[in-house]
Amino acid sequence: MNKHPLFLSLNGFYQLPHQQQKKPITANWKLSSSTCLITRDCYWEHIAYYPTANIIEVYKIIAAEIDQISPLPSKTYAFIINLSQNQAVVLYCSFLDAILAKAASYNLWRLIPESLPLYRALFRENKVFYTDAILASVNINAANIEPEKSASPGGELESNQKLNNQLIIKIAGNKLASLPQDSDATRPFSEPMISEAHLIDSDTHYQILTRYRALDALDFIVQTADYIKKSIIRYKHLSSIASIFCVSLILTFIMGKTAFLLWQHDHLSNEISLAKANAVHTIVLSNDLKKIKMDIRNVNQHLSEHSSKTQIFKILKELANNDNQLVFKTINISPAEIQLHGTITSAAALLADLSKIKGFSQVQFNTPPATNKNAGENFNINIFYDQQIYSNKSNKITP
Amino acid sequence: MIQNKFVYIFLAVLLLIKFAYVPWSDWVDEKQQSVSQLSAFYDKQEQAVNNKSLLQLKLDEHQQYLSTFKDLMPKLSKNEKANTLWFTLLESIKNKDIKMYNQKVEFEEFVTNDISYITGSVSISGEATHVMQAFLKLEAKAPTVFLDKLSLNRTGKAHKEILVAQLYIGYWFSNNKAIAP
Repeated sequence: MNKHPLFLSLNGFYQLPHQQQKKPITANWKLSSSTCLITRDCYWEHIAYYPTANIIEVYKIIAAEIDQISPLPSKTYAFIINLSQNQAVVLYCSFLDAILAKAASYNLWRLIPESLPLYRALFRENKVFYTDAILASVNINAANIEPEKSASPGGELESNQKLNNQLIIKIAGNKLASLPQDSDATRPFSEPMISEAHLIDSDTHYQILTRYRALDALDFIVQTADYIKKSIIRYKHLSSIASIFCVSLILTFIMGKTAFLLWQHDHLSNEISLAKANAVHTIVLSNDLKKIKMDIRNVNQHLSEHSSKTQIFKILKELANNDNQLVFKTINISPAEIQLHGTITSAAALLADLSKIKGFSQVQFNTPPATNKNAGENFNINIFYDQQIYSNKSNKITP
Repeated sequence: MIQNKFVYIFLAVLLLIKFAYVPWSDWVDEKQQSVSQLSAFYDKQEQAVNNKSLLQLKLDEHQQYLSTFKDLMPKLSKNEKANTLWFTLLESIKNKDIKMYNQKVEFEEFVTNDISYITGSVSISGEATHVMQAFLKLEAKAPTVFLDKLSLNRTGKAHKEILVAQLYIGYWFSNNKAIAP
């Protein structure tokens, strides 16, 4: 497994941990990713600018140029650095055959030139950059190819005029590595320019390199599938047994689940059928209970609608005493209303007394009290009363 | 050769998935849904059956309450009319000290299939004490008798005062002429 950016150089593999300390890895490691960064000393590179942003046109141009552009006989790859409104910037890279063979032996097929992440990340930044990361010069001396952007710090820059723009630089030993940026500036390197360069520190460099890890999951699946395929070929007999075992396991599972579902379905259907008669009887009982409860509720409702008239008479009787000389001439009691007509010494006092009785409301004179010849008052009073208060509580079915 | 073999195996697996696994998976889903529905139904059924004895107990209890109430009231036999019962009630309070007139049966109401009441009005006149006694006698028959409305009037002169009571009486009864449910 490789969780840090993986580099491949002629000297072997190494990972670049966050602290920028190269960590060599042995060939025995199993790599989960197919992505690998190729160090700058293992490829030739060339940046081309095309005055079109149409991706199809760019593709056609690349297809036409890719076989002729490299001075090396090895395979050339093209990477788009940037597509702007009217310009496409393409990086051509020609990897050494030895590197390609080495990568193939580890199932590494997504090869990324080390400078590509920096080109893409810093494109259009009109500044001069340098990094303290160790970047070798782009050079393939063995093939007698002139370095495109290499120079000694004190010497003149011998580079393609297209590429002598603003740069990322690193002075390492006697080599000056440069990464061209898109700019109209034509000034070559100068000491003040180098001294004003912006630093790409190790953290930023690490983050730029780790942007190319999006396809790690896919790579892992491909690598695993490839490993399984190789294992199957290598251990044919064991693979056959394992395959038969797996197929048997799957078939057993399918048959078992099918049988279990069928049994469960039949068992439940039988249980339901057996209990059906009992359940129907229970439902009948439940319906009967509901009906009888409703009957009781209806009867109780009718019973509660009729108040006890005897109770009302008792209350009216208690109002009479020797002092007030109360005589009722007429008493009308309907389900919600009482009308009283009679004589008394003070009708107002009677009205006040009636108003105080619990359950009586809207106690009022139907006609104004009139004085009669016996020095008393004739009254005609109307009262509303609460039937629930005067209902006979015993007249109720109690469930 | 090996590549071809892998391709054939891969195609065979795909065909198996398409024509064997997917239909089987659909069948399993359908069956599982059916089983879960049956299971839910079975649970409910079992719960209902388990509650049967409790339901029976509650039903008996309520039937007892209702039959106790029904036992208090007169029963209307097959050939009898509710009017007869109402008039019989009036007969029970009649005496020589009061006059009873304007007896009129009004309506019969079915409260349940076999419990009803009949209402009617009657006027009673006589001395206040006797009229009130008749009234109290009626009220004492509660809950089978209820007074819906009541109107009392004193008439006559002081030495020979008469109380006239107009009563609207309801009378509960049970019958066997059940209404079709």
